Amino acid sequence: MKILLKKSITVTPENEKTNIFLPFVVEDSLKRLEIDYSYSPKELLDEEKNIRLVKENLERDGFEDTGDYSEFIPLKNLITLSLDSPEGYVGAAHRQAANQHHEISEEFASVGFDRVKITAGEWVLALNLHAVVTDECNCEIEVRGYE
Amino acid sequence: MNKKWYPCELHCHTLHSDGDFTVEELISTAKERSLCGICLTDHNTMSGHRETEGEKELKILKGIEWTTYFGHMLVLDTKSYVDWRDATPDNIDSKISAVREQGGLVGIAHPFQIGTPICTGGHWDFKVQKWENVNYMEIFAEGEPYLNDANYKARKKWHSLLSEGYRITPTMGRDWHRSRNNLYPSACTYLLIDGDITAEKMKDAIKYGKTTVSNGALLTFETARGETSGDTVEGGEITLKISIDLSHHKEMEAERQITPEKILLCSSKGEMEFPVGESISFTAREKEWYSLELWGSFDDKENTLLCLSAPFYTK
Ligand SMILES: [Zn+2]
Ligand SMILES: [Zn+2]
Repeated sequence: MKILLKKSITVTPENEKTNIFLPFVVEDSLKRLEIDYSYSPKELLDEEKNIRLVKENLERDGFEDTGDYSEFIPLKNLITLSLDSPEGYVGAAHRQAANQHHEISEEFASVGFDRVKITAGEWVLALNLHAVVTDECNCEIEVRGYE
Repeated sequence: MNKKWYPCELHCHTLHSDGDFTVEELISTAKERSLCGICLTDHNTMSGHRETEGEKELKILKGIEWTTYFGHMLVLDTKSYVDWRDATPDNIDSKISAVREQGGLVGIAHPFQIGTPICTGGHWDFKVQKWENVNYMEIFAEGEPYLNDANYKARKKWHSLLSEGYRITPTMGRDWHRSRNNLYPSACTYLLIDGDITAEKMKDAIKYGKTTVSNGALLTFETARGETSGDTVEGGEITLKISIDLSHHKEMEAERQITPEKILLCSSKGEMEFPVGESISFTAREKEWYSLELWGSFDDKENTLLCLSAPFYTK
């Protein structure tokens, strides 16, 4: 086993709607990748900020503000993970879970990812910042390679 | 020529993104609904496609829902992958062109859904200039087959694009993620296909405007020459033979009744109303689009849009 990428990244609302690309190098003779990814916090707990952001969202997109925000609150951070091999896009895990484990190999791949050979060269793991509603959000990434 | 309208669902998710369906469950549920074809359009991944290979009965057109920060865009059947991550409001035309160059079709999903942060990227904020490259747009979105606020806005936007001369195909998108809480089981997009349905013919039907957006009722029409949605016909006196089919709805949901009450003929100049009958006749202007709508009651919902056709055009 070899650790190919290990990062702890703090993002803020200014980073929302961008991607953070994290390249890592795969050398020959690897058969499988494992990715552990988590981010925290998932939910915005600040009641006042929740209501402010929901009101802004409703107004911007032309929805009626009924004063009942229960179906929207608490707002959530959504930072998904996508992956590229030297050959191209491998997939993404577009879902709400804030703790994820993925495996990629030619024989097996977790849902969201294609089954691909662990080709030597530069791979890129990307964080896709769909929503950052908390003042800060901490992302922990570890990619391991197995022979 | 043996053309038939096939019920299809053009917007589906599985466990490969944030759906609850396995691919297998999606396929079996689609068959229970008597659907003949689906588009598998998981968020930002095509990894579910590998699980569709063994399926022969249900036709599956392979797609992806670009779940970007500025809108959700359905992309169907590209030769090679085009990246969604660098799409911005100002470069969307070149991203759409790249998809079209790869042989793909481009559809706008739920254009007036709420956006970030409630439903990230759900509201269409892209500044499209080259609408000629957009193939289709969801009019009945998020599985709600009637004119709620968002769908009303979508229909209005679509009408204005048609009036500017863009031929955009209307669709219904269930945005299907799971079995439970699915109202309106008979709502779908009907695709007009010659002979047996295949994924390739589904793609052509969407590309060439051979669709009917339905809450369960299916209104279809043809001219004396057999022309219908997607066709370009001579202007002047036109009689359209009308057919209304409620059989798919009755099979899916006998308890909630659909009662057709009137036909609206929509064009750039507004609407003309006709009673429900075997035909309608009118004088068609040149260089115009005409979309037929069926209105009536659905269960306890009165005077609601039941069905909307992709337009035919005049020379
Ligand atoms: Zn969507
Ligand atoms: Zn969707």
